[in-house]
Amino acid sequence: MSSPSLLLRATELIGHPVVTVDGGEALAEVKDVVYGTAEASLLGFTLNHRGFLGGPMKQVLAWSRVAALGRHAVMVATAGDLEDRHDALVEDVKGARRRNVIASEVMTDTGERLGEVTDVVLHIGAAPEVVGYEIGGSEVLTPRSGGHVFIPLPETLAVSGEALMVPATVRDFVSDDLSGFGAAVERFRDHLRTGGAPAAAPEGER
Amino acid sequence: MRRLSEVAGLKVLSKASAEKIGKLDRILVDVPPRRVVAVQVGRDEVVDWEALSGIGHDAVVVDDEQRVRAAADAWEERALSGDFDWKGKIVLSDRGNQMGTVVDVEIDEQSGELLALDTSEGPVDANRLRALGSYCVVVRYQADAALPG
Repeated sequence: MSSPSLLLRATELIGHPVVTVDGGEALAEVKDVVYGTAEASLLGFTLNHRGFLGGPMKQVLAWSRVAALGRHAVMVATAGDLEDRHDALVEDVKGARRRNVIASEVMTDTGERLGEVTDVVLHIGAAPEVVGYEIGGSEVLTPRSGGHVFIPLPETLAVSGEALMVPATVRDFVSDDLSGFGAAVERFRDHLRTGGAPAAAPEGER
Repeated sequence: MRRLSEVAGLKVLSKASAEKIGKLDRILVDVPPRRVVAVQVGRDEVVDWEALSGIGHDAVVVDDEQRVRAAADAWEERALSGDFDWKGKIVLSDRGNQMGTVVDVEIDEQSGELLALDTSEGPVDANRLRALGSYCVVVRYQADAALPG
């Protein structure tokens, strides 16, 4: 059962509490989302202490330790999921800042520039995953929505520090609002699976 | 079934002496097993659920004032300081979605079992409760429930 509210921009998670499922305690809040470049992944989150005196925490939360992502909280199993033993991740996180997928150019395999990545779109829930990107600065797609469109994540995709490579067919699945994006993702995935012509996107679909 | 709002503030009497011991300030609920384990009857004073002989409409009766004791562990101390108070607490599903805040709690006054939460968005069956913390109540996601989470 997909509903529009199950899609979220990754940056909307900033400020969300990190809560233990079997404790009901808020351990931290999300300071920043750390994007990877490979496979459109999120590496995890940097954290702030909660409350008035909340400053940055030494601990980070790795993506693999997230039990669920919701509209109001990031859930983890236990407080141990934040511990300093993820030293390797802390290094990854620092390194990732220099090769952030945000602001990468989006280029089709026919050499057309579609814009640049402004955010990552997540399907939230018990098995959260990256399903697409928010693209800004696009002249090609001429969005009606103030320069921002959503583009579904192809199942195969090349990313470098230079560009995000997408198949040209992705243009048929672009959505200019997040609420219609869930259906666009499904159509695009079906298309990749069957290798057929893109199904006509109903105009004005919610 | 009794609501927390109905029993909170009731006077607490001793069955042995008929003396007033105090008033019911809080119920201490362990989640799981989603059961009242003790009640607070005064500042830093609790009585185990097993020592209650009845929760009526007008009073809570304790077997004997000898059963009044201090907090026994860190969890009870936190409970007495209000960390696990129900009213106003955020209700969060284990998927990270908020389901309102706690308005009231329904308990079975015979067994001490927690029956349901009344939240600002509607009732939630107590068998979905996973944890009670100082930040929130965690409720299991349930697709076919009125409030799935």
